[in-house]
This record gives sequence, C-alpha cells and structure tokens, in this order.
Amino acid sequence: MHTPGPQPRPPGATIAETIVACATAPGRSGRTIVRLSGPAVETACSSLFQPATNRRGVCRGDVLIGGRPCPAIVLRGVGPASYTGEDTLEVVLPGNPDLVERFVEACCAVAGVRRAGPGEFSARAYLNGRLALDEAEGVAAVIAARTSDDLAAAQQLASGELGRVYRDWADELTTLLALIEAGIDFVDQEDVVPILPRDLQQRLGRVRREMAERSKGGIAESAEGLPPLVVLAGAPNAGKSTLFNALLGRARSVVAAESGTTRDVLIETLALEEAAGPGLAVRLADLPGLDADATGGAAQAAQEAAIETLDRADAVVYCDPQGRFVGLETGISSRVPMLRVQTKADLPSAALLEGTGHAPGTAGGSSDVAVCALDGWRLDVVRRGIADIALRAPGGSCAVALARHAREIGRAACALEAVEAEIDPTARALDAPELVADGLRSAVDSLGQILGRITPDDVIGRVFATFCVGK
Amino acid sequence: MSPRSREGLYLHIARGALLTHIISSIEPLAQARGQRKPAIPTRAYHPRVRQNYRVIVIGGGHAGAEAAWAAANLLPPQTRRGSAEPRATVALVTLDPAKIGVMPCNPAIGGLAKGQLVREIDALGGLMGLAADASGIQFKVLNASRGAAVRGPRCQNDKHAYAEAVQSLIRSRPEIDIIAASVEDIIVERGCATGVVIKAAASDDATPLHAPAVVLTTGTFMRGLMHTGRTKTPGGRHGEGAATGMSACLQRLGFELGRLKTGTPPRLDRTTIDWDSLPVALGDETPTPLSELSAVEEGPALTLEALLESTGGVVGERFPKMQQIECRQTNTTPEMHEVIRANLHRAPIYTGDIKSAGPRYCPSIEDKVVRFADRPTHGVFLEPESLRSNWVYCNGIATSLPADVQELLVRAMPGCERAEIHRYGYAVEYDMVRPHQINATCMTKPVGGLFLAGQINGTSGYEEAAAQGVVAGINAARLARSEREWTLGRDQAYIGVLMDDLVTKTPVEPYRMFTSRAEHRLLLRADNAADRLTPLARELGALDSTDLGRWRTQLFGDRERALTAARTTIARAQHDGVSLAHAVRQDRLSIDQLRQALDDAGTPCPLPVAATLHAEARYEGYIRRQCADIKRRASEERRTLPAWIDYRTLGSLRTEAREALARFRPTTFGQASRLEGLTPADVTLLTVLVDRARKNHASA
Repeated sequence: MHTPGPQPRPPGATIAETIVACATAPGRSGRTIVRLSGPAVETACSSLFQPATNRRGVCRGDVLIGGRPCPAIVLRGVGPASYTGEDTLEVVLPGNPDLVERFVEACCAVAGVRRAGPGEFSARAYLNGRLALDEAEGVAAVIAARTSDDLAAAQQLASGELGRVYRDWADELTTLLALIEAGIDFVDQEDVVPILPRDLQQRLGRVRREMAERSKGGIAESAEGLPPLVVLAGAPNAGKSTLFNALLGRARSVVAAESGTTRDVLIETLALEEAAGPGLAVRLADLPGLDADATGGAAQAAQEAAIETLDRADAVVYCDPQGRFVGLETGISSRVPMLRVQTKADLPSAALLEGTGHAPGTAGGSSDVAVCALDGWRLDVVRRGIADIALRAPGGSCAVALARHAREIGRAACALEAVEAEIDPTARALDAPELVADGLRSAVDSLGQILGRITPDDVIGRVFATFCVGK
Repeated sequence: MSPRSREGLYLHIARGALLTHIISSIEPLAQARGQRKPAIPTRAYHPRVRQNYRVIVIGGGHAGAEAAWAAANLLPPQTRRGSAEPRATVALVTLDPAKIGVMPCNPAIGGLAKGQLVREIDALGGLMGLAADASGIQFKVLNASRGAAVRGPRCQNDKHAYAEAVQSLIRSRPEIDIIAASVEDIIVERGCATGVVIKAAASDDATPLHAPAVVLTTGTFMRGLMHTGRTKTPGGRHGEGAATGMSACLQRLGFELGRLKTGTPPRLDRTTIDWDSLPVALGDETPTPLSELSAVEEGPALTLEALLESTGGVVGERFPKMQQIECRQTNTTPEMHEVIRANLHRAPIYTGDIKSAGPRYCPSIEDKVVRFADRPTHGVFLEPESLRSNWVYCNGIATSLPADVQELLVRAMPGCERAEIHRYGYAVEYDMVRPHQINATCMTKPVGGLFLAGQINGTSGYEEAAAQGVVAGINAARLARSEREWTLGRDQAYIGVLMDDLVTKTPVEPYRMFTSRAEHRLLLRADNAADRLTPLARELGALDSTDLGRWRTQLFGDRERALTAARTTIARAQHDGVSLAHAVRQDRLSIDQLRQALDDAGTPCPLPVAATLHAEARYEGYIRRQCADIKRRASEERRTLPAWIDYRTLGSLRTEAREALARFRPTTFGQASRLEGLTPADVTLLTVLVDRARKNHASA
C-alpha cells in the first residue's frame, strides 16, 4: 500500500515509515540541520552519504544532492536509545534553503521516506515511550516560546514539572470523587461517613483557584485559542491578493492590475492539513500594499490598518516580484519568522537566477520560494512554507500544544465551578451527590485528556483504601 | 403439562432412559437456518449434527436459571411430527434440581446498582424480579432520600420461598427440561461446543447430550473448597460437593483459569437471640416491587388467574405477597475484636491456607479487625432468612475462623449472649475462567458455542450472575437460531457496563457492580429500565411466546402512552409561574406533588411514570450533555476490530499495548480504549494500523 508522493501525514500515523524534515528555522543561516527518523535511515545513510557509513555517532563526508557531493556532518543515532526511540540521522548542511529543500527531496526519493508532519519527531518519541505526552508537548513549547515566561512554563512542561502539578490536581479530585462515591454506593454501610459539603467545597475551590491561576498567569494565556496570524505583506501591486486568492482557492480579494487595489485588511482561515497535518490552520491576512508615500483619508487609513495587522502578525509572508526583499524588515520584529516569496515568477526578472527561482544574495536577502499564483506553480511549496513559519512563530506550536492543556484545564475549572454552585456548605450532607459526582467526573476526565484516563476502578480503589466497607 | 408430570419427566430423563429416545428422533437442522449464512463465522455447522436441545444450560443457580429462562423466551417448544406434545428446546442440567435458585449467602435481592441490574433483567423479560417480589419479606429502597439515579430497590427474601418461586417459574416453561446430572465433559467438534457428556446422579453411564450452544455456570463449584478454621471440605456450598472434572476439562480446551475466594457469616437461631432488646430495622412503609409485573392491576388482555396459572402461582397475586418482617441491629464489640485478634493464627486467610483474593467490599470480620484496627465497633444486621424457620443471617461478620472461635465472637455481640449457631460461617475458594477469554456476549473466544456466565467469570452477587445469565441465554438462543450476536452498550444498561468491564479488565477480586462504575449513571436508572430495555426485548422477540411476555408488552404500551401524554403536560402546565419541568429542576416539586399537578392538569399517570418524568426533568441538562457525549463517541465505540488481526505483528505499537490487545482481543475500538495499558495515542495508532491491515487482508 503506497500512496503516491511524499505527503506529510498526521503525527503518529504510521511509524513504519521514515520521516524527514528540516530541523532548524527556515531561511538563510550558516548551518541547517535536516533530521530523519525511522527504519529507512540505514538505507538513506548508505545511498546519500559518501563515504558510505553506518556508524553510530558523528561522521564527516559528503551528501549527494542531485548526484553532486556537498560537504556535510552526519550524526547517526540508533534506536531505541535515540530521541525518537528509532534509528535517527541528523545531517548538518550549509544553510541554503534551496540546497536544503533539494536534499529533503533526495531523502524522500529513498523508499519509505516521507516528509514529517509538524511535531512528528516528538510524536514518535511519545509513541515509543521516550516522552510522556505532557513532556512531548513541552519540547514543542520550548522551541516556540515567545517570552521568558513562556520559556519557563515550557521548560516546566518539558521536565514533567507541570505534569506533576496536573497530577496533584487529578489526585485531589479523584480522592474527592471517591469520598462522594462512597457516600452514594456504600451509604448502607454505617462505617462510611460522607464528606461534609463544607469541606468538599473548600477543597474543590482550592483546586479550581489553582487551575485558574495557572491558566491566567502561566503559559495558557499565550494561546488565545485562535490559529496563528500569517500576514501577506509587501509593496503595492506585489501580487499579494492574487496569492491570497490562490491559497484560499477562491476569489476572496479583488484583484486588479492597478496598484493599491486592496484597501481593507482581509483575514481568512487557511487550512493547511494537506501540507502539514491534521488540525493545522492559520489565519491568513491580505494587507493593502505598504506605501510610505500614501496620503489622503482612505489610503492612509488603509496603511494604518495594515501596519496594525503587521504588528500582530505571528508570521509574515513577504511578497516581492523583484526578489529583492528590502525595506520591510525594519517594520517587523526580528523574532517574527518570515517567508520570502518571489511572486509573479512567470515574469522575467533581473534578479531571478535562471531555472532555480533563486535570487542572488542582495542586501535584503533572497527568496525562499518563487511562485506563480496564476498557474499554481509551486503553490504547494508556499503552503508548506506557511505551515513551517506558522509553527515556528513565537507561541505558534506552543499555542498548538498548550492550547490543548489550557482548553482542558479551562473545561475542568468550569466543571468545578458548576459543582461548587451545587453544594450548600451549610447542609449536613450533599443534596444531590450524583450531580456533584457528575461534574467532578467531567473535571477528572478533562485532566485525563492530558494525563491519561482515570478510571472508575481508580476511584473505587480509593474508597476501599479509605473506608471499612462491607457488611 | 402440569408441574407434576414435568417433574416426572425430568426424573425420567435423569435416569437416562429418555436420552436414547431423544437422540434417535433428531430432526435435521431447522429449515430456517439453511438459507442464511451463519452470522457468527467461527461456528461451523455440521449438516447432520445430533441435536437433543437447542441450548444446554449447566448449573441451576442465579446465572443458570436466568440463562435457561432467557433462552426459553426465544426458543418456543418444538412440535414434533406425529406427536401432540411439544418438545423442550432448553436443557437445564444441574446436580440437584431441588437446589435451583437457592440463596447460599445473604437472602436478599437488589440494592445499590444491583437493584438497577434486577430492574434491567426484568425489563428484558427475566425471572429474578418476579421471584424476588413473590418471596420478599422486607422491601427497602436504598438511598431513597437521594436522586433517582442512585436509588437502589432492594428486598430481603424468604430464602426457601425464593428458590421455590424460581423452580416454579422454570417448571412452568414447557421449553425447559430439567436434567439431574453431573457434567463430565464438554463435547467440542471443529473448535465449537456441540454438547456435553452428562452422568445422572445415581448412574455410572455417561451420556452425550447435544446442542449448538452450551451455557456453563459453575458458581463456586469448580474445585470448590470450603474453609472453617483449619477444616477444609471440598464443595461449592454447605452440604454439597464440588465439580472436580470441569476445571481440567476447561484447561484441556486451552482456558486460563484463576482462583477466587468468597465467604459467608454464621447463621443464628432466632429463638436464642434477645430479639426484642435490639434496635429495629424496618423496611419501607410502601414496598417498591422489583418487577414491572408485580403490583399492577388486571388488564383486559390477561386475567390474573390466567397469569397465576401460567406462572406456577408466582405472578399475579397481591403485592407484597408475603408477610413483611422486621430486622434487628447489633454490633461488634472491642471484646469480640480481642477474641478475633487472639485467634488470627487460626484464620485461614492469615495462616496462608487461603491464597486467593476475596472481595474488598465484603471483607470478613477478621479482615476488618486487622485492616481497620482503630475502629472499636462495626455494625451488624440480624436478618431473618425465612418465615418458616428461625434462622437468622448475621450481615456483617462473614468469617472463616474455627467453629469454637465463632461461638465466642457471636456471643460477644449485644443481644446474642446466649445465641446458638445453626451453621458456621465459612470461606469458599473456587476456580474461575479469566474473563478476557469471553466476549461481551458471554461466548468464549477459543470455543465457539460455549458460553460462560456468573461467578465463573469472576463476578460476585446473585444479580451480577443473573445479568450474565440473561446475556448468555439470549446469545445462546440466537446462536442456535443462526442470528447475529446481541450486546448492550455502557450507555444502555448496567448489564452493558458489567459485560464491558469483564472483557476489558483484569479481575483482582470478585467483581461487584457499583453505580460509580457507570459513567452514564444519570441515564441508567431503576425507574426507566423498561423504557431502555423492553423495546429491545420486543425486537429480540423475547416477549412474543408467553403470557408473561404479552402482559409485559401490554403494560409497557400503557406506560409509553402515559409518558407521552404527561411529557407534553410537564412542559406546558404551570406551577407558581414556571413550567412543571422547571419547578422540578429547581427542586420545588416532589414526585408526589408532580403526580398531583399532572393529575390536576388532566393527564393522570401512575406513580412509576411520575417518578420517571420527575427524574428526567431533574436531570435534564445533565442528560442532554451525556447524550451528546455518547453520540460523539458512538462511532468509535461501536467500530469493530477484525477478529483475524495478529497484534503481535503490529510492531509499531508499544509492547505493553500490543500485549494487552493480544490478550484481550477486544471486539470494538471502544473496548480497546478501555484496556489497561492502552493510552489514547495507542488507540489512534491502532486505528491507522487496523485500516492498513484491513486493506492488506482484502488484497491478500
């Protein structure tokens, strides 16, 4: 069963396959690391590396890209002791995006190798028992941390410290649930004294407040629950709206040959499931062209809106048909990842290197990809690039990983709040213990989504440990 | 056929005289079977299989009686050509027919979660609720002050009357032949059970008995060993023997066995207890029956006399049928605890004589004294076991201490200073088949056509046993009719929770039902058992062939009409400016007040209907959420896993997950997700691997 083409799949989809991805930030850099993991590593190693080697550890030599050797350093890991628990290969290459892309493609040509989906290396580490779920999410979060607060939280997550916090909550809630269930299921036992409503309310409140605090001050806030905002930016008439429509697959934005056609900021959700795996989507914004000379009411308002949106951007797609990419960086924080797209690749351009779609290293930098939105040429590469920068955006995958936690903890806190409302602290016994238990159980289930299921047997076990039950 | 002549028949059969006759007059397989492909592929039908019965049930305890009854509901007696007398379809094989339906431990039916089970058994057309109502001597709804979802109807029974009621009901069915014999072997052909070898009590001749489905309910009898102090007696119940050959037979068939322990307290002589000095424990003023069919008025379709006649006098009389009694309370004392501590070295669970696990929820008194050493006293209920004897059950002091110690400790309880013991408490160890080897139909995975129900699957309790009896009986009958397997989900019934827990968990103690095991507790209430399950029983055809079934159908129709009418009223009619439903939700209307308000609004309804409406209104928001939850999970829950898959080849699964899957062989993804050792990620991965394996399998 082979699906054609090296399409990324959902993380953990099938770990009989070998995955490959660029492990460092996109764009130009001194060195880039490409990582492979899976059973075909050995084959890839012997067919792409000269001199052929399969030793564990570090090795210098050449990788073959399109038949031509390119100097590289290779780090070979052997499962199950590697990070992912499988055979791994890390190849350090010169940081040229096109070279890297061609190497990744060469890897995909090896039987059984395909591109990795986002987070798939950590997913494998998790599936192979090398990481706990919360730790795996922490690794992604460390990479993406935006602020030092984020980083601290992410490191807590990676070290399992946050997991311990969650486990403490789950532990306390399971105990409370056991005390309530004992009052229901063993009420005919005179040894069982149901928990006092007042005590229950106090203990529940304590956990709920801790949850609220965590989700307010800590990591969870960086996840607003919205997909990352990716902005198409560039000079007027750079072809942003054409690209916007082409990516969305429908004519959302008005396109015209005149410059300055777009006056409003348009934001649409762009699903990137095919390019990057399930659930991944970004909010894609089409901006009016940036023009410092714009004057007059409407034009100026459009500029202000554009700049305001750019400030909020999690990632930027810089469109320039000339492939020069100058002038924009000044307005954008260096921490915001950027994909440089040379638009209108069907037009001849002085800056365009023949055949490669690759601009020379001018002052502003060169394109990561050239695209022709009109006929769809390389549109898939742009999609993949967008997925890449979105995930690397500060808080990007932090948001993806931690949003899940925040969501579950939020749900748990919510359920607890409802439970507290059911409790009359002045009463001698719970009026509707089955409803209190129901709410508590949903809170425990939510935590179980992060920690693993907490079963009725866990609860019943605590009853027996606490009470002398049995007539 | 009158009860008397049926009795004659089974004694006749017991001598083995009829067997040859039956065997020689076997019909070819039922015509209906020929057309359709058998729905259960593991079952290889032999075209000329000898068939004495369509279902054989081994064991006449609560699981066996219920299994035979459920199978009989689906397998009407067959009329033979040239013979006026219809032939039975179900054989109930038991060592001693007089012991069918006996209560060897606490003579009580129902309770928390167990009451729900009994109501469900009843809603499916079972017998337990009928027998319990006919023999109840004290009725009490536990948790009556709590919400409907956690109320548990319970009754104490006259243990003799209960067993007689069960026997009368079984004997009232022309579908069932009772055969007094021991079972020597299970006949397995081509991997499927096709019968058993029986040996009548007074004979040495082993005779084969054939059927396409065999239900095995061994209770505590498989290598049963009773302990009182250091005295060990082979047997499953006091005064009875053990089944010695069955364990070996099952092992030969490749089953993995386990061993469990349970225990029972001493029985006292009531006349030697200072009864009147002790605090009274009363039942409810208005008893609540366990069966839908007790305590209802005569209907046009069926007269009470007809019902009385057709049920051997069990159903159709006034409710409660028997005189109601009081129980008494006493307690253990520090002096008694001292006696126990001083004699612990003679208690089998501490000497190491008993190694198997007993139930944590039903500890022996020596266990309680050791584990909860700081408690100076534990409560004890003194419950009369029968109206026609002075035996009293000491609820709370199960023990396997030696007889002389039992004398001392009983007399250390207030009011029991001069008490005489009728029967000493004892512990019993017995073999079970580890339940990962059955699926949720009770049929075993290695041997098609062989069903296991009751304590053999590691459960404890009459109700849990009976619940499995229903599932096994229905599925055995359906197998005999070449119909698809039938299961209940966790969201449909406690019976579904029970079966699902059995096939996904490793038992560490005898399994007992608790309401906290049911995640959809608010839906699975005692009051709405009929609404949940009677329509399913009708679909199965379990209510078609008997007067009881027809009566149940009629009563359920009445109930449905009353519910529909009152549901409209409850949403519209006002109470203090809000709708009735709203008032109930705010806890401003009791069930009785709701019933009155419905009556005032022109839609009178019986109390049970008002109770259901009250619960529905009270839990409305919660139920809506649970239903949404159930719907969301439904597709994964019921998605099947192929039986041919070899989990050991799925190398990308974690070892622990792979081993759990290979051991339990779950039939659905829902079951797989509840296996110990499987994480949500494993299940996700499993879906992908199974899809791929399916494609490979299809192309191979």
